[in-house]
Amino acid sequence: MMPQATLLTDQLILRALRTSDAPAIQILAADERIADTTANIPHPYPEGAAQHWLREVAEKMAQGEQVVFAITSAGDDELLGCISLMDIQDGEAELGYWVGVPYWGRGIASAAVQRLVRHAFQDLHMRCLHARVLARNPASAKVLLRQDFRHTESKASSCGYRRQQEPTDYFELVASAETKEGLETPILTQ
Amino acid sequence: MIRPAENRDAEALAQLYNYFVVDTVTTFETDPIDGEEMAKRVVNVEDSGLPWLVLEQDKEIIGYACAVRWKGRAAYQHSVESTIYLAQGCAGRGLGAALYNELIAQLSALGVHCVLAGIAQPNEQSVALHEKLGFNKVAHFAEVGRKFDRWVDVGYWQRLLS
Repeated sequence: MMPQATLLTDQLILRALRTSDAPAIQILAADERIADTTANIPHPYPEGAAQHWLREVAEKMAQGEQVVFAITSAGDDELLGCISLMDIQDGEAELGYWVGVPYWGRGIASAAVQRLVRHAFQDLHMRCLHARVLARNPASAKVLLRQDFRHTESKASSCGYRRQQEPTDYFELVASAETKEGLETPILTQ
Repeated sequence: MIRPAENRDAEALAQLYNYFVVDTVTTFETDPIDGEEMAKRVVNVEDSGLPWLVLEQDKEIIGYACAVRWKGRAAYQHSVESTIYLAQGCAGRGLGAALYNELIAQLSALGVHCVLAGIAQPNEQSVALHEKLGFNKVAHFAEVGRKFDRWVDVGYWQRLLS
């Protein structure tokens, strides 16, 4: 796999995580609303959990199982959330993301997903991306549908910190001529 | 996207750089270089353990940034000289800052302490970029270069990394 690239959009920079990101992740990920709808974030979020997670990510990235990006704002490198390709195997991966509560409603997840999807197909030559979203989290499903993910099935899974089985929607996006072509948007931030 | 330079980028990098060789005083080199020479330079930088990053947009190389050891003697081991070039028309869109920030983050992770950048004067755009990134002017060498039959000053900007 190629060394991790830094991806640009008109407002965001998706870049490798750094140890210096731990304090921002610690604050954003500790919000119950983040843990409530993601698969791997505990709640309460223990002291030092962000640092621990960064070390875990580094190991999984070294083994080629994951690629994780910090979602940052282009102007000031502020950490807004994280986006990952997980369980990378045979050209397939599971897409996961979260955006910090203070940054909701600005289209950040959509822009980040759009950019990472293109990277996955165009540069990492993946064939298929999967994603799952709790049925009670339509905002996140909308992000996927906007990028042409297709709803494949609905079944129970545990996707929140409570580890309860809940109705979950599964999505996938298969590489096509369109996903391989799309052009990068030029960055416009000063 | 911003990614490490690869061998296949050499021709495009040479082309991008040669504009500055032939038409500007930004670099004090005066003869254009070919892809082979550029490939050697990239390998030299990477072999020294320092980053050479390219900025690619729609499959085209529109910029690069790299660092070389400031001087060879042992006590200079934590100091580098950084370089950034953006293709014509690509400056002023935040691209340079994105590229430079990534270079500095990688230098920082490598334990580099001091980053120096020489800027042939005048070059408002480059000075603005460096100062935006936290560089301060630390030196000014008057008429240290001669290109296109005129004397050229070089200012040095410095940023210390923790």
